Amino acid sequence: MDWFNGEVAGIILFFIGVYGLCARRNIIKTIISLSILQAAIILYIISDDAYSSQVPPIISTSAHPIQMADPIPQALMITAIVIGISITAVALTLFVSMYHHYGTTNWNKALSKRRDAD
Amino acid sequence: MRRKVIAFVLILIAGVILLTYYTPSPTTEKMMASYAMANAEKDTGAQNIVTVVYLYYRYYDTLFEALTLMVSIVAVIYISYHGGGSSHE
Amino acid sequence: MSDHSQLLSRSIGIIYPIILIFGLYVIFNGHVTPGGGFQGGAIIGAIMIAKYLADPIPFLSLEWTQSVEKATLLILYVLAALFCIVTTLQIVVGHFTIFLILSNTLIGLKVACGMSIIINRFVYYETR
Repeated sequence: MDWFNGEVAGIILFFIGVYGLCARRNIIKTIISLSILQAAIILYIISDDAYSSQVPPIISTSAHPIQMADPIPQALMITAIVIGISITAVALTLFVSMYHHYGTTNWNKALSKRRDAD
Repeated sequence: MRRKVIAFVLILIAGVILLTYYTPSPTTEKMMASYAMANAEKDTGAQNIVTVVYLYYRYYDTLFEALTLMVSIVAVIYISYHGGGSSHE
Repeated sequence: MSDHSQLLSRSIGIIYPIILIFGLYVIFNGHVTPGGGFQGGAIIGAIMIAKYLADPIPFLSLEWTQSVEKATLLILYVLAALFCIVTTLQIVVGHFTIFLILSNTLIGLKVACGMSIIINRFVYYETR
């Protein structure tokens, strides 16, 4: 199991999310797939060029800068996590409104009802 | 049938990517990271380099990310079917 | 969730101050230990979930929370502009720790307000 690191897990999760976006027509499952995609990308970028022997990027007397993990992806991904939460919250709100309006959780049924209403 | 075809194609693409996955050599120079590690304590006096990066070197990121969170909360409140406001009827 | 259990609400009532103290610790030590404003704010926002599990009654005014959040964001922007001016003109040199702690506190308050609004909205409003 030496080949199974965070990057491989990120790639596999990414394709699971793409499958959920392509093959499913449920709106809730689309939102869940978007969340899985975000988690996969964050996992990939965090674990890129990271090793188990690295120490956290905190300056102290015992740690040398060569042993430290890369602090840049960690600092950028904390913003990506919060933006992912925002996107999921807005998407769920839109879904609830759409469900009250059309009464379905299926993309195609909602689209046909919308065409009928026009 | 459609789902199986999509799953087969995606598994094929994922397999090709995983088989040809190239790990960059660890000797590549990380310029931003080495700069941050060398200058973080000298510039700000804080020990946590991640905090120094997102509050000193990349402060605009943090500011506009906070703005994004606030805009999304405004959207959560006012796009909703139940409308804004805090009345509990 | 009207039939909530007595055991759950009593035991969660003990947990509130512990969550609050942990979140404040994560925020105020963000510049020396792992943590910071976003993480501590998310931890403090978890108090809302505990409150909902203990007794599901809305006690936080939405307008008030949103006003606090907007004011915090404004103060954050003013602080950033002030910091730029002060460091460019070299009026005060070498007080970055105070700036980091202030920014972390404001971001933590802002994220905690945002998480509380999202949780309260989805728990009390969207499920009607």
